[in-house]
Amino acid sequence: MTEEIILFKGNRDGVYLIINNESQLSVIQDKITKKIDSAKSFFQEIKKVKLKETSLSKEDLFSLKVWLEEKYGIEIDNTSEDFIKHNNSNKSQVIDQGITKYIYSTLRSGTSVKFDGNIVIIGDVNPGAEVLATGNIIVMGALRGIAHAGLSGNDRATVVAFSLEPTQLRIANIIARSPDKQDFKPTYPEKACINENTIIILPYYQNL
Amino acid sequence: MGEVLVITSGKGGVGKTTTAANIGTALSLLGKKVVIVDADIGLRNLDVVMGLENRIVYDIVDVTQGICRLKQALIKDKRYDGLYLLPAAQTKDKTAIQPKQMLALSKRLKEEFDYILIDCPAGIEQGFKNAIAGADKAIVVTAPEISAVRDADRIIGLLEANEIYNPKLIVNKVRIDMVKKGDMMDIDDMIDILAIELLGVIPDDQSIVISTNRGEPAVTDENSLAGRAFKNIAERILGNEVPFLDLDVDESFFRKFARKLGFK
Repeated sequence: MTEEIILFKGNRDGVYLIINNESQLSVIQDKITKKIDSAKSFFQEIKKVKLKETSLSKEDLFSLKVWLEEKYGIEIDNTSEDFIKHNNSNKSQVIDQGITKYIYSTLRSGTSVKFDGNIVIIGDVNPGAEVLATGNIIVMGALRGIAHAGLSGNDRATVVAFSLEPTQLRIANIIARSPDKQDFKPTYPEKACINENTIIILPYYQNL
Repeated sequence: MGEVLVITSGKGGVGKTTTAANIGTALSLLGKKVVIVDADIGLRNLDVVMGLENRIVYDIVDVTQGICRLKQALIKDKRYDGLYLLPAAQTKDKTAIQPKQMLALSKRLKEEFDYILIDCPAGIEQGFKNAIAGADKAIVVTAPEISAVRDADRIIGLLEANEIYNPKLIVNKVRIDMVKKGDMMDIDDMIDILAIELLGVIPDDQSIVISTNRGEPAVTDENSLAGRAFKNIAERILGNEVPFLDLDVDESFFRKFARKLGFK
């Protein structure tokens, strides 16, 4: 039997998408389209697949993810252990997605937002304001107040901000505060996550 | 129909009362009919700053309780045409007035005056709630200190929650020499955090202390830089475009000379 480029395979954990060949993204997309069209009723039920094997680049993987979600409403579930095994570079940002609350304003001193899920703030979080989420926190602006991600103990939660200068950062049960004296102020977005029981801050580049 | 402007800050001591007295006087000098309302019941001092303390018979609480007519409580400032003061009560406290009564009072004052300036007490409790109840617009006064900016931020949030949008910012007590050395907060940094429109910058000026103690607003002093800054703010309230003052003028001759020679 010749090896197929793509393969959907179901087992008790769910459905796996296996990409066997180092083909171009367009070829893979073409094959997936054919496959799904040939078994529409089966794929209608499927909302999530796990990616098992891939030699795709990060960018292609991202495009594939978006494409699959938009066209068929199928989400590539990155929490899959196998996926992480094969893509060590993408390790930390893959956590359960969950529901998200959007806030379209700046949070000023004295305001508090708490949500069971992720929070995206389109605006700043000023000193004296706090954001509490059981999932991730993303601030499309400056985070100067207090942010607590992974409120219920999710230590894979992250905090991302265009300008990350919080009074205090908490992820799961770990608390970090900003240095008393900061000599240098990054001009790029940053991400905070937990690494070996401490909160670390990394420059945030486009990841999957 | 007049306009009610509340002058507020959250933090105390940043210069709300001085700002109210000076902007009020400047607006009256520009030909407007103005009343300044002291909402700081129990800790009144707008009357002192304006030099009208000894003429108070009735106050704002007497008006709201119906003890006197509004006209009786209004004090006309004889020095400036069209400038009036509605003093606060000193023997009562903030609970002597309800926001509803302030709203009704503001409506009545609007019929007679072009501008109603409300001098808000510090804090965010009942006094603040009273002061903003009838306000159409707000002016937030702050100083270049982190604590004052923090409080201003909170106040802007509370104003928005009470449907008073787009407050304007006045930064008081600025010392340009200190800002330049990096010892004082930069105005741009403050605006970056507060994200509201700047109405004016007032330098920290000796003339303010002198005029406050004399009971004569600094705007009447031609030589006062702070007075000129307040005058410009009044112009901007009227909708006129006035460039921001160059506050870097009190540099001594010697220092200017030294700088020219290349010394820092």
